Amino acid sequence: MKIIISNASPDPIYEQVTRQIKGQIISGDLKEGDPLPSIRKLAQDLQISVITTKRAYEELQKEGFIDAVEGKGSYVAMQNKELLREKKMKLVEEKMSEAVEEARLLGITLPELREMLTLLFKEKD
Amino acid sequence: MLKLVRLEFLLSRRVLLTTFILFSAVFVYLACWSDSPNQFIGFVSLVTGLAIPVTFEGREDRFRTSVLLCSLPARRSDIVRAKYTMTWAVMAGALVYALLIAALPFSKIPLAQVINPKGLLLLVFFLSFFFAFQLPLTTRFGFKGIMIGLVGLQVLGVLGFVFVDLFGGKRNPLRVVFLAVEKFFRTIVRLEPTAGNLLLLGAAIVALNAGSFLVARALYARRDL
Amino acid sequence: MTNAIEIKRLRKEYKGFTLEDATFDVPEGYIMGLIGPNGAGKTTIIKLIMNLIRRDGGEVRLFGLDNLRHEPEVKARIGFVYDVPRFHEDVPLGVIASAIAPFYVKWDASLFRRLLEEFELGPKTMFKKLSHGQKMKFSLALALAHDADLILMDEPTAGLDPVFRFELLERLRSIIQNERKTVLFSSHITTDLERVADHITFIHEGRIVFSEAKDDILETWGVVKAGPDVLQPADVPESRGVKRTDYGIEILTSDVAAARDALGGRAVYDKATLEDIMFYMSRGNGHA
Repeated sequence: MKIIISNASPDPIYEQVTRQIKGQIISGDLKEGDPLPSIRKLAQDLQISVITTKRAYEELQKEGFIDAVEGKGSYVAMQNKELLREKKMKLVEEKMSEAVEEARLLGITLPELREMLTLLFKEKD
Repeated sequence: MLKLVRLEFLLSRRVLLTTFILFSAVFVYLACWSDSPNQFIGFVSLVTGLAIPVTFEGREDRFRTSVLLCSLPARRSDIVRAKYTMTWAVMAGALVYALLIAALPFSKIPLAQVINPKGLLLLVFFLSFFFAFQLPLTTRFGFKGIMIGLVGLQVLGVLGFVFVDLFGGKRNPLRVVFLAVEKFFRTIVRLEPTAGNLLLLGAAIVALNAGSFLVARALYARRDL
Repeated sequence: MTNAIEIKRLRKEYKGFTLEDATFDVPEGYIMGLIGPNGAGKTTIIKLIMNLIRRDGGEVRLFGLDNLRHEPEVKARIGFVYDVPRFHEDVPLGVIASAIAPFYVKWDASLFRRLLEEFELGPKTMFKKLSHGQKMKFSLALALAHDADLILMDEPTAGLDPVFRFELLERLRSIIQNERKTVLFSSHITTDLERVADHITFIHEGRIVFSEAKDDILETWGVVKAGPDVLQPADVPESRGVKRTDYGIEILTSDVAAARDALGGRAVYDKATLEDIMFYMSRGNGHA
């Protein structure tokens, strides 16, 4: 599991953790049933507060990304295929919404944006 | 409490050794120089009653280890009890040691005049007296306490002489005090060794020690470190 | 949530300084940092917890027990490391340890030996021969060897070289891998606390200012900066301290989100470090 914490980032640390774990679950780097490190071990390894990792795991659990098994720790939850796709869409949607916002501010039109998107998509092939 | 006594002994091992050596020299010298039983009793009780508590309690002050002691899982009253026990054990050992040295061939001390009920009780009484005097001071104020006490006494003594000189005459109040103190000690030393008197002396010893223990315990419990 | 330490309305009077009405809890399983400028009362609180000084009022509960009524019981579970460790100077380390060991039921002699080895200390060395850092290590070894449930330290990192400071702080973190262990340490070195503390209690002039989770503090406090004459402290919600220079005004707030809402683009918003908090708060809202 790869997590990088940046103190310079404006995002709260627990959010950085949640986002990165979420991302890896959605992308499939973390598979269903994979064990997660204990909140204390994670805190020690990342050199952050236990309260933070606890909060991150609680949020991930609330959103259905992970399951906590009493006495054993936390594991990546069974991801409903539909829900997973939905989550993936949501992630990309968030990023696109950022791009749209930026485009509006800079005065880039919808056709121009569409063209950029098509080019980028083709580029990655 | 035994754990505390063991701790006090372990942490003072080295000093025990040097004290032992020092006292050997002092007692040998005394034994060679004096032939008076009273001098022996007075000197040994004074030296033992002052030097030993100051040496051992003084260490706590010198190294500031009171924090260590008071951080241990023990009550302050237990700590004081242990200190008392340990100090008394060492002093008793010193007394026995002094008597042993006085029994050696080169000694001029007439041991028979010391080793009798009255002599031994006197020894323990004066020892308790000097010990009781310094202990609360040392417990509360540490090493400084003793210095203050001794210096204070000396200052009082000097003042006393000055007043006696200035105001002279038999009605001088300080002179009365001095005479009273002198009379007190003389009475004790000259006590008839009757059973009653000896019991009284024994009771006085117990009272002295109990009293100073209670005062020391109260002081130590209140002490802010 | 179980609390390792509960402090209620603790009070201690000195000539010229009073610790007043101190109330806060130290939750079990975390590292709490006690922070404040020198003379604020950090050492006083720690000494009161250990009953090294007598309290004038209030209550201290350790592991749910009153710290006076159950003094030996609670102290048996505490590993105490003082800022300047003091032991009898002419005694070897091994003898000191053997004198202390019987007081602790959970004393683990082999663990102690291993710790000494790890810290590169010889049991036959006399205490007076140790450097300050080594004295701290020895003190820490004693505290860890009896599996203390609470590690209590007063200014543990002051006077240590950066390498050992880092090691010490990381060791504190590894202690609380066991969620039944708690660490409370006082420091005026804010960066150390920022690194390793889960909770922070800030004490200033004898009063507790706040006792919160560190990340919450660092997320909600902030410094509002603007040009001179643009802002007054009164314009900033929850302002806690101010600094004026020729170039502008800097105001510490305990609610930077509210400040952002209220002032928008009129000011710049910076994160507040613990050092900032200590600094600005000691200047107050007055004219500085």
